[in-house]
Amino acid sequence: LTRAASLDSLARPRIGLAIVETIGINVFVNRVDWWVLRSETERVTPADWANNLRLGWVWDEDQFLTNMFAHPYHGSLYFNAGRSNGLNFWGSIPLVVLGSWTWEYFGETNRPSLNDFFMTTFGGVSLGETFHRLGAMIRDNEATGARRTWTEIAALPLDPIGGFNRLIRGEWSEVGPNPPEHRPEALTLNVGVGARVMADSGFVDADDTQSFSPTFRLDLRYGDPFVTPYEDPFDVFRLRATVSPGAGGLDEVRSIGRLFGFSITSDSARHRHTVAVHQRFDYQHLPAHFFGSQSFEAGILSLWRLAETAGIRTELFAGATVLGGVDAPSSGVGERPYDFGPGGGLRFEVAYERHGTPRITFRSRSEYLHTVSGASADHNLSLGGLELNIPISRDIGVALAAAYFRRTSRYIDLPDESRDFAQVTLLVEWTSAARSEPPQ
Amino acid sequence: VTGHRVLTRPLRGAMAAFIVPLAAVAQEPARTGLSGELGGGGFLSRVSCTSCEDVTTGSAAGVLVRVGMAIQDNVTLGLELVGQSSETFGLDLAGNDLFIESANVSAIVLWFPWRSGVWVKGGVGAASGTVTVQPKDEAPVEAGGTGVGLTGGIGLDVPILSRLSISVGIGAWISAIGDILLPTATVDDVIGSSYGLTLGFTLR
Repeated sequence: LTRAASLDSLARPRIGLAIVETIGINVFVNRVDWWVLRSETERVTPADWANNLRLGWVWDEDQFLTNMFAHPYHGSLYFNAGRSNGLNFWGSIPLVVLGSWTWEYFGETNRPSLNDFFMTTFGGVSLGETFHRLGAMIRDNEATGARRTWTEIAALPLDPIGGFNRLIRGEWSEVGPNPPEHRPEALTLNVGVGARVMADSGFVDADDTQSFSPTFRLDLRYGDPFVTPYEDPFDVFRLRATVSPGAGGLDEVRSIGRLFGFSITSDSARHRHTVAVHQRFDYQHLPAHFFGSQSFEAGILSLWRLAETAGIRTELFAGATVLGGVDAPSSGVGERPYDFGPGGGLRFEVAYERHGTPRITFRSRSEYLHTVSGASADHNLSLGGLELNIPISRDIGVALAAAYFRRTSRYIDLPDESRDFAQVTLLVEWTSAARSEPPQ
Repeated sequence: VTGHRVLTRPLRGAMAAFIVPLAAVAQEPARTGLSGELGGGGFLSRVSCTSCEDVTTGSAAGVLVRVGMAIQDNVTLGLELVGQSSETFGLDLAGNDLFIESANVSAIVLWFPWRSGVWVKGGVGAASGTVTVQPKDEAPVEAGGTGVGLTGGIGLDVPILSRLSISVGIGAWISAIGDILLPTATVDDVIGSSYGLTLGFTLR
């Protein structure tokens, strides 16, 4: 194997270099923030370090996007400092802890933020492995010339540290075989463009709520629990990202990655069942509500075969939320309009599929969050929806999705409050489904 | 030559008696199967809250229970319970005595990077805390909260018998337990941080 192809299976992982890069990321971000952006928060001195070490953790009041997406993305950089230096999934996790902890204590004048530590660490692992695999998919070690350069550049936003390491090792031009992550056994990519209409019982400022917005959506199914035997964490994952210009921008990112799994039926059985443990990353920043969480879930996935090319897939999972954030009228603290808390939840999904691709999908999810920062409250959330995927040609289809959200908040010192919100999305989608092999 | 043999025989005997068993312990298969640890320790604890301008610190004593299962030669997954009690945590703003009890139940990963017995721990789970305020000449007031906990630490596992070892560790336990609702005031968004030295016996 060439160096480029063996990047993930180096005989000796470069642990020292990975640690140096992890600390280097913090030094780089800190200095850019101060020298270029003149952010006083990053103008740290040893006196700030001593103060942070003496006083310890607090909850911060940053924006939802910063806390629930930017910090996990920052954590993914630490994680991929490990992955791109030959460490495996588990070996890269301590680097995220190291990077996150040192940033919180030494990277800013503010006292260390506990919610940042949670989001950077858990979200960094989840997004980090997802982006590591997506980067490997986009890059092509067999390509040459301008195409090769463009694939390397295209992967940079997802995995900049991996790209940096490849660049300094001369792997942007080195030709060789691709790693297994480049083309997983099963892969379905849907890219859609359309519009979203929403209605809510809301309390938010009317200026913040738009009833109509153009929407772009990306759905990726990497691996298939009934095709891909468990070997490594995130060898099967799903990713959904939605962008709605004029109505929140990046308004949804959801990643569900398999940490562990095993089949409880034979591969030749008519109906198949597999047990899995997932790590989840949820980020929803819609005009009507904010919700985000880092969680783990365990449950069973089933494939009920109806005919040669048709079947029903079901998923039933119970989970624990390490830390989530949700907005409510009386929630939050200071400038932060949302609460933080741990919790748990249940999730059920049933999909009718033909040729291995879903045609009708029903989803239902219940979440409970117990506030540990913000209002003295417990929040119950119900999220669900129905989605139709109608093929028009081999690669083009229409997706029609109706989604429902309900939040009920029980306050210790205020009356209970609830909110309902519904949205309908219509998309024209390009799909790679016809190019993928359905489960046998 | 004879004298040399006289000197080397006891030396060889000593090697056989001490060094070989030590080497055998060192070469034992890495920690496998189920394990349980019972121990205790001393902790330095710190409590902060959103509206608190400073932190309150004190010392505490505690117990530690760990159960685990090795999933690889050098990785053990388990559960850890740490309970702490501080009879002399300090004084509140009104000069009343503060007593604090807390517990963390965490899903943990113990990683043994080398065969020497050094371990690194990380975990996340649930946390609870109870604060008792003892006003002078009045009945004590008690309030508590539950939330999320984090733990991390390092330690050393020293085998003393084939299935028994002593484990010494230093660690941190973070307990985010939310609001503490006292009759006279609400303490917002409480975070407790404990740093402790623990000693325990581990049976495998």
